[in-house]
Amino acid sequence: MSEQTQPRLAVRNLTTVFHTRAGRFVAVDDISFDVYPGECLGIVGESGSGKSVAALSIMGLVDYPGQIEAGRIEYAGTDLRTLSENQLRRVRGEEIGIIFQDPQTSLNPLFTVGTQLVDVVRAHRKISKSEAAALAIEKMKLVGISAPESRMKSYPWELSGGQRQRIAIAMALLLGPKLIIADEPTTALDVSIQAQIVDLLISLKNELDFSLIFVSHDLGVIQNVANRVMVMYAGRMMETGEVGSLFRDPYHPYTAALLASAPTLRTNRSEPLQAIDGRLPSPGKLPPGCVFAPRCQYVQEDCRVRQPLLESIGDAGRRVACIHPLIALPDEVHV
Amino acid sequence: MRKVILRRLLQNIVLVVVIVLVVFILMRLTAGDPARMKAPVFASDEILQSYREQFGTDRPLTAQLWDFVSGIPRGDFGTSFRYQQPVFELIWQRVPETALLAFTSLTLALLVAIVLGVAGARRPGSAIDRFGIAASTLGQSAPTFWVALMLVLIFSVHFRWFPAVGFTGWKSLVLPSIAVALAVFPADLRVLRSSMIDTFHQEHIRTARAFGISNRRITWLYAFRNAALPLITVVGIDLGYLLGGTIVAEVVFNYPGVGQLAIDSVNARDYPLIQAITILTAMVFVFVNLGIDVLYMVLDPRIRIEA
Ligand SMILES: Nc1ncnc2c1ncn2[C@@H]1O[C@H](COP(=O)(O)OP(=O)(O)OP(=O)(O)O)[C@@H](O)[C@H]1O
Ligand SMILES: [Mg+2]
Repeated sequence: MSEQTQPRLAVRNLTTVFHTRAGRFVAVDDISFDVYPGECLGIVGESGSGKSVAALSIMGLVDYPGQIEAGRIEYAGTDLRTLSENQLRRVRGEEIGIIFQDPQTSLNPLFTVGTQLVDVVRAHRKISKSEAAALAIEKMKLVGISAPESRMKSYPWELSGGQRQRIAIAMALLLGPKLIIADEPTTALDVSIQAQIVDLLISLKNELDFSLIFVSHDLGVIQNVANRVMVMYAGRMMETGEVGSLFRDPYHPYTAALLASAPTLRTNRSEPLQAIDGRLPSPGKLPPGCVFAPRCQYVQEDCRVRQPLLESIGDAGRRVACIHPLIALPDEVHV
Repeated sequence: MRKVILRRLLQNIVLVVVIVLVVFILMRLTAGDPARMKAPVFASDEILQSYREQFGTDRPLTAQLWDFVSGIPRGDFGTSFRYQQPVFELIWQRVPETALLAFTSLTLALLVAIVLGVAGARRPGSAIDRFGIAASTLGQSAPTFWVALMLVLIFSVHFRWFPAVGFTGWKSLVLPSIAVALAVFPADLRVLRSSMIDTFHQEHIRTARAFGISNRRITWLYAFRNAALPLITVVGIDLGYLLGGTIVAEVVFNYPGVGQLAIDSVNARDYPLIQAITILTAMVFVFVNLGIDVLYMVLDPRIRIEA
């Protein structure tokens, strides 16, 4: 990758809030990241940390009472937030594809797989039904569905979980988008199928050269899929960097805690799994300083008052939002 | 699927038979002698007795029941006490008017319910949504006879736009249809609105949006198809209100339909007429509900395949 490469997606200062009866909740708080052509960005974080809201915000799919309050979402140089609903409609599916968590609920139970796929094609292309069906069948073959012609006539609930998710992936691929967002695409599936789906996504990405945003709880999967990772906590970005170095040397105590609690990552099996004590703060009652301070085992006094900013530290591309990162900085070495 | 429909049909036929028997017995148990209704007020016992012989009401109940039941396969539902005509003919003449009124009322009710229900569900709490809810509350609380009288007062008596009584063409349909529709649409609207709101929150709708399907298509195809299922069930239940409302409207507007005939027949203790109208009404219920079951299967493949 040359340094001149432009990011396909550049998100700047994205802030998404929910206005509920209990008040204003910031679900995504001032996050910025880039996704380059052909790369996979992993987003990790505990449940409720804002991963899905961030993913939906990119496509302008956050519903009332949620609202994108600030930020820019630049796709191929255009800020998607400035587009009209109709312009945005053309980007969805055509430029950016999305794969949701649970294909059982994310496909319409009253329409056949074929109807739904054909409808997506025809929402963007003025072609006949049979041409659209041919395209759908082609993509179904691509995702490894056997006898795609007869599967076209099946209803989603007639298929197995793995088959359904393959259909959902075929839908995302239909119009050849250059960016695909996968929001926990394996969480709802049988453990035995999860690896197949992950492998499928990796091989499709290599073959078709789209960019991928892969949201997951599972750090083991992220390690296999992603080039870079973004760690989120309570709507904020805690740390980001190349996947290898970040997993090897986490600078943020939250990243470290997350890695220590991940069963699929353990290299040293003699060390016990460490669950992170405490819970995510509720979005209405964020602590004043670092949001992770109440649960951090390295917490110091200033962490509770001063909010850390995301700063570049150490190796290329690594940014950490921590006042006392887990790295021996030159001035601290002498203390 | 065919088996299910056949079973449903058999169940319903049994139901119709039971209803008819209950009506047959109840009428003869309640006070009121058809002969007295027909004869002059101070008629002598002989005159009354001759009427009873003519009507057959002097014979034992079992014999009357046999007469009635054995006639049905031949299409003979008896002769009206009051009109001295075969009841089948009497009813048949009036079915078109009532069917027309019921049809226009239901169409109007559904139209209003769909327009206001879908618009309201798209923006809950908006002006149009609040209007829909207010209108349905009004429709539910205003009795049909009162609404009918008000419509006559305003649009027939004051403005003279529509005839107040009788049947003289499409204009005669307008006011009765509005009166009946006003009683029927609130349940439709509420059910459609809430099922539409539920559907809009389902994940497959978000998927459709995420893939650039237009809002109009999402609303009227993807969401409406899901939300229409509960609506269809309510339409089946509506039928009761529809027929009840039709009777009231027919009486107020002196509209020459089966509803009026039903009221007349009850007042005259015209047993054969009451029995025939009951059978007809029960059959309508059976067939409409059967139609609804079929429609359900057509719209929801999950039911179709289970069946
Ligand atoms: N419709 C909504 N109304 C109010 N708050 C919401 C809504 N949707 C999401 N949130 C809030 O936004 C925050 C982030 O939620 P989000 O779904 O993005 O988490 P997540 O990281 O994807 O979690 P998970 O791993 O469970 O999917 C949560 O605190 C949640 O309460
Ligand atoms: Mg999520």
